[in-house]
Amino acid sequence: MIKLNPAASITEEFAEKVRNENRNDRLMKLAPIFVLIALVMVFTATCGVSFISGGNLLNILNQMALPLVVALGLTFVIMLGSIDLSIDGTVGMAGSLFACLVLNSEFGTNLGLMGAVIAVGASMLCGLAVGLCHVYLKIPSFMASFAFMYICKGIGMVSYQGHPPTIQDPFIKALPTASFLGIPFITWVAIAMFALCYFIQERTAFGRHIYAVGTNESIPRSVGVSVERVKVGVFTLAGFLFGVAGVIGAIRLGQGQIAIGAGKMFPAQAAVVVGGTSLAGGKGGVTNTIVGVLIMTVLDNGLLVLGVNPNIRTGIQGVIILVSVILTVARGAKVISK
Amino acid sequence: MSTKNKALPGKRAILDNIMEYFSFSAIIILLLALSLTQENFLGEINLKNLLRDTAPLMIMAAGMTMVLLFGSIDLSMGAVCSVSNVAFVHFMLAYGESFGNPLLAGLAGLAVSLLFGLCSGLTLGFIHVKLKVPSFIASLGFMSVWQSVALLITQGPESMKKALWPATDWYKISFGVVGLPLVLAIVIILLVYLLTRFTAFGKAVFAIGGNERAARVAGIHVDRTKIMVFALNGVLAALAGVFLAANLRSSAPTIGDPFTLKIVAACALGGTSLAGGKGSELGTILGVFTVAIIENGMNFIGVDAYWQNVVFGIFVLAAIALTVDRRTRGQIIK
Repeated sequence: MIKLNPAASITEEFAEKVRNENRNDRLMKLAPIFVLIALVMVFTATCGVSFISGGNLLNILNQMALPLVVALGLTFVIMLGSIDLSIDGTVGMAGSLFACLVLNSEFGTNLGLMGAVIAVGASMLCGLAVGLCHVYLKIPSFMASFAFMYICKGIGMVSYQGHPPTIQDPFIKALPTASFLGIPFITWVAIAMFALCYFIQERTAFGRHIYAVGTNESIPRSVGVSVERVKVGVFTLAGFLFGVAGVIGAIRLGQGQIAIGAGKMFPAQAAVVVGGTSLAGGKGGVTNTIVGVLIMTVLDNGLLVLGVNPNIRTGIQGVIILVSVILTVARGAKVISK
Repeated sequence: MSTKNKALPGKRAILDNIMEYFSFSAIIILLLALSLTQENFLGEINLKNLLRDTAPLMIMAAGMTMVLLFGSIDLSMGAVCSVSNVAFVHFMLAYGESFGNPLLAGLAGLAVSLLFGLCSGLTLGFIHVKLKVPSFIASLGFMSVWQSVALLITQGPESMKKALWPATDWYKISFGVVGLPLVLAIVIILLVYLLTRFTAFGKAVFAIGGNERAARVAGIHVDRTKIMVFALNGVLAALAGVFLAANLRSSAPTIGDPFTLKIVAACALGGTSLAGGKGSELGTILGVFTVAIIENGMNFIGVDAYWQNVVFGIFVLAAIALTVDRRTRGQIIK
């Protein structure tokens, strides 16, 4: 595709190459938005105009709250070039702990909103532990977090001993139906988390370091950035967001159980990758993720409206991950993928 | 191994030695502790249970060890095992009686399952090798695909008709406390061991794990070797699914899910490094028994099923942390 003028000097040739790459980059950045528009058009055509009615749009906005918070946490991890597979466990654990700590049907505790703080704190600790295992014990991140998925699932189930507690705190019970400016409370939490992540990514040194570490670890190391600290910080931040997602899930369900986390990892993974954050690290960001989450939610909602078997929908998510990774993966002859 | 250790600093050598005998000593300590505190732990019934339940894990770990040896991983094994398990029983239900002979029907079902395993392994290998998708993400995608396929075949457990039970009778044959399934599993893992140790194919696997670029330069068919290992791995996962079906004479669409972590645990405890190039099927045999004894022991003392996840997770982390190669400086792990 690169047309080079044979008479051009090396400098011009190089400049041309860079321009071409930039153009491809811009195209790749816009691709997710085109996919989103195409999806909306396809579903409007097949499901009728009701698909883009206010009711369904609000529905989609509600549905995307929890996946968005999870995907935001995962975005930073993937920007490092690492991955976090512990999501199913950490989200479920935070939800279970939260329900156990507030006024509930099974245990005599009543910590109110302190319960949320403790649950999110526990989830942050798990994120921290994944980070420490990954960075200092040199365990590949997918393996460390895979083991923590099981550990957190275990802790979550132990916390309620097989009897999922139902939340009875009147204030918390009222939250799922509460809304402000027509947008539900839970969606506001997701928006706040997005704003926080955007601020961290764009306005803090930590956020910029994440990009640097993801692009080429040895460069930030040589200019004195503590790569280890950045990585551990990212995993802890991810743990925080997974914890918030778990608490949201428990509030919405009105009950604490490990199943809150079940099947949260795949949509998040797919959303981040579909949004254009490369698994190799250093590219993308939270704004890409919001588009990715929208794509996944619209797709899921559309298939639901069309009445597709939920099991097929999970399978489709796996295929989407594969296809989007295949499309974005680096494919030089010298690349070794393990 | 021993000549290498001499050149290394003392601390490293000690760690290496610990890892070499880790599984072995863990088994001895666990057996001693459990048989001293629990009266019937070494009784015939429990021993029989323990040894019989080890077979599917052993078969899958045999495949996984090969994949780990060249530095990749397959997280879809559990799901492949589920699909094969469900497909086997479903096939027996649908077509089993038209064969006339239950044994013939069993063989046909086995063929269907193994064929599925072969195809899934080939596809995964192809996507990983030719399209350069990292193996953990490719297999993770397939895990989700196969999990939903298993649930599409059947939503809940299906049982085999009594007329076809003779097709699975072989699973209950035992010689003393050692059952036929375990014997078969050990034969399989030993065959894989011979394959990795004494054939050009096996040497190629180790070479790729040690240094892929060097292996390629030396003229080894890296891509073909990898795809073949993934295919073999798929077949073994499918075989484990049939073993599980034969054991219960029924199927469950989620039966393979808990195996994924246990397989990795067994391989890591057996001393196979996730980075590739280091490990052995013989170590994996010990690793499988360690995992089986831990699991059986926890059930025996009455540890909550919930805690078992926590214990296994920690074991995996510990085992991997001990086998990780920290020698290369500046190596970037993602």
